[in-house]
Amino acid sequence: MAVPAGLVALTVLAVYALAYVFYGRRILEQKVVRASAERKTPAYTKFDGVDYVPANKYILYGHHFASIAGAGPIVGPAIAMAYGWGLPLLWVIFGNVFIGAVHDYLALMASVRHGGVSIMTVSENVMGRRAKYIFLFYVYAALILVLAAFMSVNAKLFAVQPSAASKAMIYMPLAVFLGFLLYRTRLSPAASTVIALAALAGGIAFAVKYPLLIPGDAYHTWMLLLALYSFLASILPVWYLLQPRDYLNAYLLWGFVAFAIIGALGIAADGLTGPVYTSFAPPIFNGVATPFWPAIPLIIACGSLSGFHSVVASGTTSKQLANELDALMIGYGGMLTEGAVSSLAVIIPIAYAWSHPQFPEFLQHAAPSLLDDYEKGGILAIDKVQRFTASYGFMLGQAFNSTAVGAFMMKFAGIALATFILTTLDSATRLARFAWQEMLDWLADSSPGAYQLLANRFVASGVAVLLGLVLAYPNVTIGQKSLPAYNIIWPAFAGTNQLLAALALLTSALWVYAVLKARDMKTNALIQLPAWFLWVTVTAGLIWWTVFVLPTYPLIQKIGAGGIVIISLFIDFLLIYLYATGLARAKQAQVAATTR
Amino acid sequence: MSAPSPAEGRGRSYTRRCVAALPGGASRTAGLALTALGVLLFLYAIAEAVAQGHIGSKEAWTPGAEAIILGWFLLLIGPAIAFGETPAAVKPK
Repeated sequence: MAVPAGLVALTVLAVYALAYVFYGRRILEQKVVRASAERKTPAYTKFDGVDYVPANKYILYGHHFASIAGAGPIVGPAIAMAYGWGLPLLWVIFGNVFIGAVHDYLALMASVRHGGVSIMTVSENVMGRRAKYIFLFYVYAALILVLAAFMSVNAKLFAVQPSAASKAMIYMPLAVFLGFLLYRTRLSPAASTVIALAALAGGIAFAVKYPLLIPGDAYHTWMLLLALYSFLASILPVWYLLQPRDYLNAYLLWGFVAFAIIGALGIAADGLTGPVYTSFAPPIFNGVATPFWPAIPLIIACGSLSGFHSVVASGTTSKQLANELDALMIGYGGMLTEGAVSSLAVIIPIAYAWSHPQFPEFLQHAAPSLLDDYEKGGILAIDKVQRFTASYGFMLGQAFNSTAVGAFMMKFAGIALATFILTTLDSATRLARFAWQEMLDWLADSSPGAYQLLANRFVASGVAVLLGLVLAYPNVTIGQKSLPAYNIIWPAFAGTNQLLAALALLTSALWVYAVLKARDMKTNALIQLPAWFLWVTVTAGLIWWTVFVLPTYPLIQKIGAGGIVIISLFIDFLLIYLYATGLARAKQAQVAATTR
Repeated sequence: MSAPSPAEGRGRSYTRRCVAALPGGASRTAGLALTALGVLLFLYAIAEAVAQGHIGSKEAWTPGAEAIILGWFLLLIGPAIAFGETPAAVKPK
């Protein structure tokens, strides 16, 4: 008997609600971190009008959510449906509640308590100076790779879907205008928001109707324009563009999630036509049988947990947090929202559309180019992004009993995805700037002039953008395809990103133990066990990938991506060694304090 | 800086009072000029869009495509130069 879609959706919402209150608030916020409104945050103590700027919690929630949500919460689960819908859903829900959201929240709070520095610099306090610089270098390299990838993906999107380019042209100036309304006029935030949302709706309608076409090699032209845009967005004050833009974005993203909930409830009694379980090891990576454990974190990242989030949380978000009590909604709640995107907007729709008798008719109407693939190989034969947009549109079409609504919502899903991707690009540039500045902080005392020259925001952002361009702009031949150069090492990204998550969570866990001194067995177990489970899983996953998947890649990627993974594993064990020595020091200090 | 209330400076238009309350100097003038130019370029591009059904062309650069892209950057930079200082609403109290 097929499981009703409404039951699955309500279960997801109930689990998240209970987790937020009983785990997030009662344990993490009140017992572990002991957050207090009395303690001044770095947004106030280090206010500089550029990066350290206190933000309204709803605006900051919007920024944080828009920054952490890239293509990951959509593409990963769409791929993982090869396991059936049960295992991916379990990973999204429980990975999110016990690992991902904890990781994001603790990284945010650890950064706030350390003056707004990144989680990499926080590691110095608990693991020593060497750990900090190793960690910083590792993250900086990962961010440059993200920059290159997102520059390329955005440029390609603008070239092949010119309406996305039109939308971006309207979106950014509109965000600046919203900032002006919010901060320079006496209009209330509510009125400012209504005006901006109305303008945004008009702007999206305009963009869909009037695409922006550019001649010649549009892809590379867009890449250069986006590089310049990223540089500007990174150096401009957060209150000017980043905050209002991501605040506006959050409404689009919330609309996307809200429609997913409405859709799931609209078809509540209908059963999910897809299988709960297909196989523990279907062929996913390059046709290689991919075991759910330990490979799942390499497939579903952002929807469940992602190392990039700790960089965002301890990068831009922590510097804008106005009140420690806002952090739960932003850090823990933001991650749960992303889990909601994965489960409600991706997994349920695909599971619903899987072999629904009316899905082929919907494809015939809304996306006829996909019908052939679907009829030959089922829903998994459709490209992963279109698998998501078509299923999302279909679910809503069924909920409203209208194919026209379904076709429109399919386009809406594509716009939401494009929005997720563009906002991550300039956030990644700013985060790379922070990492560069922290990597050079040793110069600040020994040679302030050199530090000022090399680590000012213009040079730091410029270096990041240039390095990203070097990886993204030229094409190389990989296998028999001509691809942007970053693809030489891109296959390594999933693993290195999740390794970052494991290391960041272990750093936070050590901070909780050594600095916050939250040492009762139950609380510690709740943080340490998931952290160690994640570390074991990701390390095993990377080793599995190196042994079984890497040999299937062309030689250039074997060397590029393989080299990166091997270096990552080396850094992994080195940082674990420093973690163990940090933990031993904390325990010795505890014993010494007890015997005194 | 916060916007003057409509009641202030009776006898002068609200817009003029807002502009007068802005930080002064060449940077304000330059920023406002860049912003105004950006708006004009955008309007030009929108006019081309309405006339042709799309902005730009795959065959060659059109004035509309150039205008919207240049206008985009001007609208990002211009207000930042004009309203350079951190607004009072953002500064910690």
